[in-house]
Amino acid sequence: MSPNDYLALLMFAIACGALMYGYGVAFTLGGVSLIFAALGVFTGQFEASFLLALPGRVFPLITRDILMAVPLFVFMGVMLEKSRIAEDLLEAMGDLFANMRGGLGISVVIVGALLAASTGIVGATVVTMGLLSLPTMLKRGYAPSLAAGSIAASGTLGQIIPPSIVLVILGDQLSNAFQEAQRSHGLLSDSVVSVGDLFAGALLPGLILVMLYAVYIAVVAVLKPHMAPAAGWDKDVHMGQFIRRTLKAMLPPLLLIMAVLGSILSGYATPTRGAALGALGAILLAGYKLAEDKPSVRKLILLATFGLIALILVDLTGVDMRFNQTGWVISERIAVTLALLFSGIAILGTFAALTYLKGHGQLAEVSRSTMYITSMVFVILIGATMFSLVFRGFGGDELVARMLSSAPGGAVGALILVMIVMFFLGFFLDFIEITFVIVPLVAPPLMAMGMDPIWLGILMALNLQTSFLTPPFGFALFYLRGVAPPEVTTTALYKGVIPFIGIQIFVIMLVAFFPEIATVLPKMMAS
Amino acid sequence: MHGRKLVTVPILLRVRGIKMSLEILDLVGRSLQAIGWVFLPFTLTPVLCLLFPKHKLTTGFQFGLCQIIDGFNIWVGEMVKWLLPALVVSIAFGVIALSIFGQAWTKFDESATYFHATVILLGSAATLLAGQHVRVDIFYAKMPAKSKALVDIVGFYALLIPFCLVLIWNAQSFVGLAWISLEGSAETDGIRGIFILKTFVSIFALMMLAQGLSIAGRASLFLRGKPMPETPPEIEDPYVTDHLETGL
Repeated sequence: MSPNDYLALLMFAIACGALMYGYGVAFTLGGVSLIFAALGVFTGQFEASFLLALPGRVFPLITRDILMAVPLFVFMGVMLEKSRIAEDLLEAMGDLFANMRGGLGISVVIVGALLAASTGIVGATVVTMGLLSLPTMLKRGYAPSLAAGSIAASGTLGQIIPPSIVLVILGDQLSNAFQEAQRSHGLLSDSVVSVGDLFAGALLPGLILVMLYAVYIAVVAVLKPHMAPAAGWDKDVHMGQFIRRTLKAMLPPLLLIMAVLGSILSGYATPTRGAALGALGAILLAGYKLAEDKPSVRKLILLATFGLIALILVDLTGVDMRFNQTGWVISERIAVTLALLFSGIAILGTFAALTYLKGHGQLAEVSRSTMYITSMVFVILIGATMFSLVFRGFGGDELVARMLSSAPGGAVGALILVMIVMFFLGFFLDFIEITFVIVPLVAPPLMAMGMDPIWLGILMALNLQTSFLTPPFGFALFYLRGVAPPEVTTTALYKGVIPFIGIQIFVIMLVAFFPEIATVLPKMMAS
Repeated sequence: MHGRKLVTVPILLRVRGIKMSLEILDLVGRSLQAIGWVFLPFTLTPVLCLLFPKHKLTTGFQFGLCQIIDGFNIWVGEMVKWLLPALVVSIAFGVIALSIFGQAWTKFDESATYFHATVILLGSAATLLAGQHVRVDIFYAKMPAKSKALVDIVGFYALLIPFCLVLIWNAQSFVGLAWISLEGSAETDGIRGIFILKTFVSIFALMMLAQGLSIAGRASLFLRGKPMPETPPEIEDPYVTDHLETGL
């Protein structure tokens, strides 16, 4: 190994150590690498002009179209959360399954999978889920270990279930890595990988996880009824009313999330556009829910929603409504007139909702939170870019490639090595940092060995998710501990997640040995 | 690497009726750099506070500096956050216009990029002030308040200052080249404002530097037991000691 290699490795180790002191992650990654760059310049191992490329790398990062999906998904998630739509959804689902043992636990898993999808930062999701559902579960007599375990697990579930922002970032990185593998690692392939492909690939493994989590809770509820008791329905509640209330709380957010996913997976919209439509839908839902005192606003929003749905229905009939066409037929004229009318209503209702939300302060609050989360994500990306640039300046990428190619056991050995390293990094770093620093280094050589990029991405995502759950360092556990009441002991928390870790490992193995689980949907989408 | 037209001969450009030549741009650049050098010693104020806590000159100055920086960055953050709803609406309506009516307006579609990048670049300082830039808080959360303050000061000098200065320094030619050609969109009918957006990269680094300075200054006032400027109501004071006992 050359002195450069030692510097690169030392830099990596020092950065991990420095992170533990708790200064901002982005600045620690960037700052440590710059200190090493200075050291390298001093000893003649590093060209200072290498850093001139920095702004040219930062700028495309913040203007890249696909990454615009991040603020949009965050906006959607925060809007659903702050308007308490998420809370109602959880409550309604809990009520629906009230007669079933373990029902509340299962609804926590399902809601976690649905909602986490749109926020996707481990900490934020686990904290929200913990605040939302842990007190309810304990009140209804759930064993603290089962309650805490299922919440920590469902909080991390959102990462693997599309549309999560970490999948957006991972997809973007995989797509770059795949090109890199074709360009400089001699991979013979002319296909491309997109964020949409990764979404499609993540869907089946994600659903399998949700199902296994639910099955586990149901089995525990049957074997040990005292751990997950059924609350039972209220006797004197009118059935029709109950159903109406439940549907009202559940249908709109469920339809919204399914519509967003559907539009992206079907190829109707890019992830960014789908996210924008989802955020628009969330604005309408929140406006409708909160404007209880203003029936006129509510009516407008309702009209706008129907207008949007009608617009899409008209579009799906396949009528050609483009303005700059020549052969107008009468049916097309009617369709265009209708569509314009619907659009007008939609615009009117959107502005009614926005005005109401602004007037009552929610819009400011949601925008501020979204700005915080978005800036945080992108500043980490900037810090990680600095780190990678210096690491490459020391020839670290070649070092990693050499280490992987000399790993015992060939391609499989290299993959296992990467997985183990990522698992341990998951104790210190969040998904985004790992994705941004590690994936560009390890993915091109691995892909060049013939591994399917989607399969690789799903394995990495599952692996990291497991890492966040694993005691004693798992991120999810720390965050949940922070918001859990004292009667949930740390031991109970650790005991509670172990079965879920078992499920995770099982699914990783499943995907590892049957890659089709990850690759079949993207292939179907492509054809 | 940026496949945009790069003008090599000194040409005259019109910006709001003022004729700008390369020489003027060069002069502007040099003066900005000079101003930067003049203000750079201000980053030492937290250290001065630590060394000479008795002097009203140091602590009082630091107090005022923190207030000015915080006030400015919050103000900017509160302004740019409104670009987020605009981002949602512009993309969503752009999709409908394109996929249903086949209409696309390049300027309208590109505006989304500007909203997005502006929120990130100008909102980051407010995010730093609000303590929302993620930390690894396994140990930090349990540290006594004094250690936290120390981490914030050392982190500022060892990590944040290099982070920002290297970005500012290396962005000079990057931003300058964009200004020379008044770089716009790659599309002919796009927004001619890429040069402004690129300038925001430097402004981002500058605002982050100032905010880091304010936080480090606050930390040094805290360490010396001096009065600190109040945090805005919705932002938690980082050094309040009665934090949640996590018990892990």
